[in-house]
Amino acid sequence: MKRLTTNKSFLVGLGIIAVLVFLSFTASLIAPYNPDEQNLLNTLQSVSFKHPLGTDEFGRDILSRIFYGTKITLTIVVFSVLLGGILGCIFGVFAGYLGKYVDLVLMRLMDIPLAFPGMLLSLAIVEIVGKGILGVIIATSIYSVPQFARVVRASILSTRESLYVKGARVLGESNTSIILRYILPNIWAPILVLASIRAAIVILIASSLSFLGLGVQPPTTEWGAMIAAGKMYLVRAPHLTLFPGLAIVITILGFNLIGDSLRDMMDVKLQ
Amino acid sequence: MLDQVIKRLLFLIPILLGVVLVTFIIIHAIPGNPAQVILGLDATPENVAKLEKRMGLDKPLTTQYFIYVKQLLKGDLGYSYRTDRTVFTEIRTRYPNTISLAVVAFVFMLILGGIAGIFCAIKQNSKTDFVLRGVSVLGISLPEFWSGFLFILLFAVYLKWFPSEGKHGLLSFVLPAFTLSLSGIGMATRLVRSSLLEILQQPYIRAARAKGVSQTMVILRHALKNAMIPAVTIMGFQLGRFLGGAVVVETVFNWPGMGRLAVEAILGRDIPMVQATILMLALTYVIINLITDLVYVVLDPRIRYH
Repeated sequence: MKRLTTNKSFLVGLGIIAVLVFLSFTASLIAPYNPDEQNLLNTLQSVSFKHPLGTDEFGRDILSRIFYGTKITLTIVVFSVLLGGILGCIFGVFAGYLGKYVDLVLMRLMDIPLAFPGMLLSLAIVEIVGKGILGVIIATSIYSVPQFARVVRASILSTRESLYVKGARVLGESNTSIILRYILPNIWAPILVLASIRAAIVILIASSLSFLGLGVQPPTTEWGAMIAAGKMYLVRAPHLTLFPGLAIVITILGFNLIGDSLRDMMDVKLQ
Repeated sequence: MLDQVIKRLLFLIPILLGVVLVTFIIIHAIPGNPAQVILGLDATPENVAKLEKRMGLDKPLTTQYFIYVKQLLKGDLGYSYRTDRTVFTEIRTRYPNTISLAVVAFVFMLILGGIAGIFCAIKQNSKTDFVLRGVSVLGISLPEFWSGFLFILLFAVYLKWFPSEGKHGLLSFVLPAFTLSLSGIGMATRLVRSSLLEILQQPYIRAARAKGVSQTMVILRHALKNAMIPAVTIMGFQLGRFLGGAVVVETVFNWPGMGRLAVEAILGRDIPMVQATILMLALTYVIINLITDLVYVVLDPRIRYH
């Protein structure tokens, strides 16, 4: 833990995410304008004191829209990674702990999504389950499931034969109890690393989907959708694409920094 | 080694069958009736039913699947709903564009990622190392649609060095290929750096140094070859991503490739085209990943498959 609090990139990443979480809860209090309030006399305004990041093609304040967009992005990330992570952990635990045929069948099943390029699979899934936030959460989580399953399975295989697990078995602990109380607490580190890396990728894919017009739909305030709308004015008013994109980059960077520093720390511990 | 290659190739068969089946399921799970899509919303139910019958949509799904596989084996991908041309013709004109873009992106990744990684490893913990590593994290964190727009603004609109969209001539490859390769460059840099650093601690490198071999020669002749093995895998998977998922970059740069074709087909509800593009891209992806695995086996004799 001490190593974490002195790791600069971990602290920067954590700081970024903390600020975003704060913004997502307080957007309605600190945003200078209503994000949906149109002002057709004031469209495509550049950066000014009144509108720190300018206004869009409907005269809406971009800073306020970015603040409100935080909530959508974080909602998608949290639920997508949770959904994929929980399902993946369940599959991984079953495959790793029960072994044999269960392992074989489950892990071959897990190979299926990985045979498709991630972006393409999300495109197809979102068409099936429907556009909108829920659809994007499901579409982005499907690719996470096999990755979590693999990591958890590998960790279980390496802890299953350890002395403390054998000891628990001798004491007559049930399988459920061994998994929940002895194994899972000891393999949280690789799960956490994967979760932060997946979070970054989920934001990338979710915003790409809305950029292509296949994800979260307007009028929901979403960063990728803001860029898609702004691309018409790329030359005349580049701030329409610049600032929401910057918000996406900073968020992804935050998760990547956390994931990287956690991974580096784990490597040190493993040596 | 040969038996391993054959084993991997045999593995390919169930994977390919799986991809075909999953693609079929996905397409049939997408809501909407293709006959209705073709005829429009104001078509009479009788006409819709007639067309459904002609397209074989009234048959049970399993029958439809076998018909589909049979047609696939004959190389028949059907007709596009929108252009009335065969799906095959359309894909034949688009596919080479995706491949050429991916190859250029791959070359960018190989050269830039390789050089940056070697540089970082030689100058470990220096300012250059720190900056290059920062840039590589940034490269991984940039969404392609955004970096693409930035490059268009800077290099096409303001500096006018490269065309902003479409495929005309060699110069038009630069911006889309660079955008596509950015995250790959970032990953390659980090990987080459870390594996080179690991190799440089090996006894045989120390032996070479003790023999008086210069730093440059140690890196080029002794360390790099072994350090490249893990890098090759990552780069191979990245090539798969370039070929299978250039959807966003092709949209941003209006590149006439497969990814753009897939998105257009999805937006236009052109079911045969969606099916064929997803299938082709997934097959390419699987095959590239397989080749990557094989190259890995060839390069590293220590690897044994169980």
